[in-house]
Amino acid sequence: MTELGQYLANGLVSGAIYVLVALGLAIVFSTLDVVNFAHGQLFMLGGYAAYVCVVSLDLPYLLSLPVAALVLAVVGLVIERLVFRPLYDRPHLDMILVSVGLIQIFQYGASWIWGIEAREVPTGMGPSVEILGTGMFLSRERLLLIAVATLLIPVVALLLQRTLFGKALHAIADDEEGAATVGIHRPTFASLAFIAGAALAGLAGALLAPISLVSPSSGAEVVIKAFVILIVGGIGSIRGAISAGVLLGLAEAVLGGYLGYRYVDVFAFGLVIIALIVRPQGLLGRATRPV
Amino acid sequence: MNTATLVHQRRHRLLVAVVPLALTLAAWAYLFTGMGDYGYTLIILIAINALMATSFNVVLGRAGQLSLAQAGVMGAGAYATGLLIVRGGYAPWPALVAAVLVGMVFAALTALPVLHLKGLYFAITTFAAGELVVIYLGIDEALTGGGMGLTGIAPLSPVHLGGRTLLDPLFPRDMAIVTSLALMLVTVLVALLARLRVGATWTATKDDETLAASLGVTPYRAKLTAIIVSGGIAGLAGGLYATYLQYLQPSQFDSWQSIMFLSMAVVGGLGRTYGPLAGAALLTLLSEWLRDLHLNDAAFILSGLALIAIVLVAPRGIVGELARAVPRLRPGASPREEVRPR
Repeated sequence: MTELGQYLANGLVSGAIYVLVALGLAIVFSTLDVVNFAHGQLFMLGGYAAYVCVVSLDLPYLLSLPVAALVLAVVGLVIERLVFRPLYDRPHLDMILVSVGLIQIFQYGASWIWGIEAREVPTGMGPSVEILGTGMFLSRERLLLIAVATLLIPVVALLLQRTLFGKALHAIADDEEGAATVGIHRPTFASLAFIAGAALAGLAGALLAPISLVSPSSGAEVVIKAFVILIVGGIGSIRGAISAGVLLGLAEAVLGGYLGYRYVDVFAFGLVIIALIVRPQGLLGRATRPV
Repeated sequence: MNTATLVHQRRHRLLVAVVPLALTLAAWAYLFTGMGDYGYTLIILIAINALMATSFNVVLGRAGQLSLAQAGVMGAGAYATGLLIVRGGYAPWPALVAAVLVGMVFAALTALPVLHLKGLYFAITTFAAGELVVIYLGIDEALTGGGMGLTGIAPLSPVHLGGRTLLDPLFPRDMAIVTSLALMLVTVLVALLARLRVGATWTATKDDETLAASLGVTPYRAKLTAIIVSGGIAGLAGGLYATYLQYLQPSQFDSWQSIMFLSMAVVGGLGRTYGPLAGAALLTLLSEWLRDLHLNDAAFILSGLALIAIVLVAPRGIVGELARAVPRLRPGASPREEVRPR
């Protein structure tokens, strides 16, 4: 029983990360109608931002979280302006191609600067905590991650569903010309979307950095899971993405715990293929746009 | 359109076809005569990479479908060849043919259930399918050797003609000839297909699926044929790779490889006959050169930069932009797009 609880707790940690990454991906997707395949590398850079803060600059780990978000927000703005903006009027494929180019630049840039060996981010937060006398232990870093995600995910969801910002993004995704007619300036919102999406990815990377080490390839896997979540949850559906993310995290942890971790990815990839074949509008939600 | 323009257009087309061919032959000759074994190794690498870029060029450049399973399909072909030789005791040449067939079947199976999906969804599903191949190859240790790799793959056996040995691919020089011939054959075949009806259905589907359907083209069939052809090419590249390296590992076929091959196709020029060759030659030579300087990471960074720069500045790719620039250099000539008949 303790074993299962432990798996579920770990699953919650990865589920929370998946959701944070997927929400950032979804925000960008809604403005440009393309996925930024390099989103996982933004997550990875967030981990390195935390590493530089804690190890090179000797700053407290808690301070590195907003720093990572801020640094990545700038990176997001820069890539939107330099790389994506000139391609608005070109076929979608072009934006996918440049995002693929960004993957190579970020991933191998990180490997050039910090080497391929994984880096540890020490937090000095003390030993693991027993959860309510259940015999289950969770590290303080994991608890922090779950706490931040629990606070942040509803905030982001509200931001997307209730605020003018979120409604403008929705309008652009729905009908670009209509949005322009009522005065929604798409380039501005694309910049904002990249800033928000990249900041979320950077924060998620910094949160996960002390739990699993940081390496140049650590973004690749996470972003694939984020795609899986968006598709299984139904693209454009925030609630679908959140439930799909948490469920995928839990399912992977339990499956991985009992069957062995090599089967975890088979599950995720199999799930996305099945979802697209059986119910492309999303297993859990409903896509807000044609598939 | 008057006769003079037509004649002029023919000449221009001839020029566009002959110049890259001459350049390629000159480069090949240089690598062959000037550099010894290192030159042969470069030719082999370029040829195999160019085959993979061609595979992307067929499915993406001609038919407009972004399939990210290509490296996985190459892996399926490579392991088919390797396993038939090592575990099945087959001779290398039939095993190489099997790689082509496995590539075709495999590509069709991955794409069939999701062909109706729009570009992005298709890209993600094929990406997942490609990754599943790599994971499977790593898990089934009894068959494939898992992450430790599959060793002891025999090289292609010597080709005899009238009692004399014509080619012995054990030697880099002869393997360079074999891979170059394979690349030439595939390039000619793809150029031919592109000019046939099937090629026209690819272009029509790429340009506008609805319009194509209203003109009597079945987009589903057009996409499927492009995927099968590109799968066969990827399988062939995999089989050649297996017999050349004589050693296989699942990680050689992960999605990063797909991205590298895709970059080559785009940098060279999507939809152009010589595009894959130009892109593969440029990026392969660049990365080999940087590797010699112990700058492995720089090779990948540069290929990423090249991909972005090409998409932003020269979206037709090296060959596409050259073909456009050539007629402009001559007085009175108009760019190709404007002299297209009918």
